[in-house]
Amino acid sequence: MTYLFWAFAVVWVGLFAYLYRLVQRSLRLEREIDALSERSRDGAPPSGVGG
Amino acid sequence: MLLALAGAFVYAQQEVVMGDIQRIFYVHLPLAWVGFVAFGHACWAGVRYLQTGRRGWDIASASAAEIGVLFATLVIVTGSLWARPVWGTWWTWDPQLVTYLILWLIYVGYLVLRAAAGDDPRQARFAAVFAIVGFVDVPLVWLSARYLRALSPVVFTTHSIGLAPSMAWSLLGGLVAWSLLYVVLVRARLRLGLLEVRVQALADEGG
Repeated sequence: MTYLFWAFAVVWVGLFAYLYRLVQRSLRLEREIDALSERSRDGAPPSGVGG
Repeated sequence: MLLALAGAFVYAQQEVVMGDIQRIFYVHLPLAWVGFVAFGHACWAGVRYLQTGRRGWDIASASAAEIGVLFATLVIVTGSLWARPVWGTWWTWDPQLVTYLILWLIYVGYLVLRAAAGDDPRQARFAAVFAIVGFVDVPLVWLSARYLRALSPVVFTTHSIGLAPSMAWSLLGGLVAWSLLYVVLVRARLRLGLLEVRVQALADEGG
């Protein structure tokens, strides 16, 4: 039963870790878009964005 | 997915020889199947990228390969956790396991290449060729299980599915659930990749 538990646990941890990574990337992208729109509102060129 | 889990833990009857440990099969085989589909998708998108040169296909290939590597990693780990109590070892140099490990290494290499390529179309083309050539290993994994005295059980034959009905339905539930999850994941990853390219282009445009 221990092996069975760990097999399913590893699958779900792996899946959630990947989803977490996707969410982090998407939040970073959101911040970049915010910075771009802020700069375009101010009339300044959107330089230095994109990490 | 809940139905698939219920099928694996409640509905499927206990296997006589291996007992409960055999229930790993209901996640192991669907993950392997979806991994193959993902690598096929990466290969197809690589072909389309070479044909059209459109960045979208390159991102689709990278997205599919990324999820394929995730699933293949989980296949290796769950397979190891299954092998330990059944075969008495975490790993054995069985032809099917070796060809699968090679497949995993090829696509990990592809992801490293793809990450290094960035916006360079020449390197992206090279990565696409890598994705296409890598897919050649998929039929080798499949065939090695059948013709090279592999240790993994062959479930599907041309005549029948070697499973009791409750086991077959549970496996089918897992295959459907993980395939649908792949579609959701690859769409989300592709959308993110395309957005990243657009934002980068806008940022570059502004200097």
